[in-house]
Amino acid sequence: MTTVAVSPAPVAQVEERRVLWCLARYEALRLLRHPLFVVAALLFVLIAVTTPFSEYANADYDTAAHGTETNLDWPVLPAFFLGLGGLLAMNRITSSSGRAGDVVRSVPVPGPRRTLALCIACLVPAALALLGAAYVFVFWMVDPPVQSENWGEFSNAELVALMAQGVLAALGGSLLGVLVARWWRWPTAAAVTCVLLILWSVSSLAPDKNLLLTLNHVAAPFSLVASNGENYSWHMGGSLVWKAPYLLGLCGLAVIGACARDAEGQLRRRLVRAAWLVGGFTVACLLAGTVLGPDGFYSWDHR
Amino acid sequence: MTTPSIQLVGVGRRYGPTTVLDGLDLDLTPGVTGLLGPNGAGKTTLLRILSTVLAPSSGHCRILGFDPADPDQRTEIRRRLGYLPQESGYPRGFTAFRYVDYVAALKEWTERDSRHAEVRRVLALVGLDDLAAKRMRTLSGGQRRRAALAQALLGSPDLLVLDEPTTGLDPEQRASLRGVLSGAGHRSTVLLATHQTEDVAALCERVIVLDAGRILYDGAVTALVGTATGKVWHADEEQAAALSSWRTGTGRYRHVALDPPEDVELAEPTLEDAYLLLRAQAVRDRAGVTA
Repeated sequence: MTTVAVSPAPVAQVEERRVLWCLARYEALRLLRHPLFVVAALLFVLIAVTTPFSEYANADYDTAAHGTETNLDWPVLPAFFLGLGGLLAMNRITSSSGRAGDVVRSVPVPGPRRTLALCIACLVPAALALLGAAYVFVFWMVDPPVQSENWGEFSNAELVALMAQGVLAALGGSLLGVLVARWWRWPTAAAVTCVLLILWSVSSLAPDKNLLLTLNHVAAPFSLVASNGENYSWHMGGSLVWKAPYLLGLCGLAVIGACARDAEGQLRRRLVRAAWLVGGFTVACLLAGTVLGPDGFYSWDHR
Repeated sequence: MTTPSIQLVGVGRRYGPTTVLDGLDLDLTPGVTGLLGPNGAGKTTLLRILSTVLAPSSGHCRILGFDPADPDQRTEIRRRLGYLPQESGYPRGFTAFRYVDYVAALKEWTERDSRHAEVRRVLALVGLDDLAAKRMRTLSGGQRRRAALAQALLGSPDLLVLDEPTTGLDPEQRASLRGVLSGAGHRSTVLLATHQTEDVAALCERVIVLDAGRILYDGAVTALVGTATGKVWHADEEQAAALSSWRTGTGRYRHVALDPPEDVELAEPTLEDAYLLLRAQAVRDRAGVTA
């Protein structure tokens, strides 16, 4: 018989890590070159850079001019451009790798590790969103925000959590793109997912005092803090601070779910255990965010 | 005696109620082995099992000394494997270079300079070095096929599994490819599935003929060709007794039959003739058994 020595485990593990980072770099470059993501990122940068200087998003939201300044909408920019753009681009990249078919299935890097490399590449949109958030924070340091009638009062922790939501939405959207490509291989799956996400987010803006609506608001992957009508401003219920770890939990679940697609044996069992753990953490954060946060309220109502 | 690099014992594969491979026993040693068979004979399924993409429904495999059923050992096989599938897609927007480079990264070539050098080497081997910067979708079918072959040649693998590698190649490219594969056959086990009998005749010492998931013939190419001696002849007119006949470029007819008539002008048989006769004999045997 032909006998070939198997590499000792420690050496193989080091090599595996190098392979993972090499592939992650490769996938990150693919994302940076993907036309959909390039357009989304350029739009994000353009709008994010100009937003703090526009009247619309002036950080100095004045109580006397209620209903006109909405600078706390800023996290919607990374969520919309980088989250949805990342979702579509990563979905295309993941599906596109699958087009190589049996060539990819016969390489030594197993499916879960290839998926993990794709997930690591999703840090690119998150990093871009983080830069945007840092930019806004710098702007706020120069021109600190004051409390407004429109938005209610926020602690520093809540403001940080609010900005973190934009970053996590950029990360989570891209991860969702990978997850969808791994499990649902029909061509419009990513587009349908985008529409569902938007509908879910819009549904979370319903102005009413109701625990279920609060739960939906906290659960929605991205949602605004306040909903403004012509004569009123409705402040959503639920805790902003708890929502951030909840979103982080969703990101973790997306990674686990995507990697579980081709996992087998011990790895699959580990992933199932991790899914229970992260799932439990995520649900706990969701419930805490629903129960521990403030109820929804009208910050002003002239009806 | 050369030790086998591939051993299959009673390997079967079913898709629902359909049996595609039926208890194959097979040993493969280094060198180039041809795999012939009609459409649906199970060639691609066999190659997918050997390339660890597909698990057999029954039986045992040992590939390069490893058991593909074990995930860790399967990885070891894949580290020593080059596989050209029948239909090889490619990621969108990739150039030929990036496509092969991407597969090289998936084959654990982490060091960029050595990986790029290897990619350039295999692209040159298949004659694509001057087209490396062209996008895959702008290449012709034959050029894309050669790019797919280039990825299989990465790292000079111990086992090379090729499913119809010459599809879409022009005669010059096919001749050039034969040079590459015969070179690989000196150090590796090469299994070549094809419908081009002339490629098998030109490259392989050994040929396996699959039919309906079973091995119909396994032996030397020359021995198979020898079975057709006396069963191929030329005549001025088409003859009904022939199993297969066609008008050649000289205007005369070439006939192949299991039971040729007497007093005919015999011709030198080719592997294609022998293959046709082998298949016809199998059909006749099956009909006899059924009757």
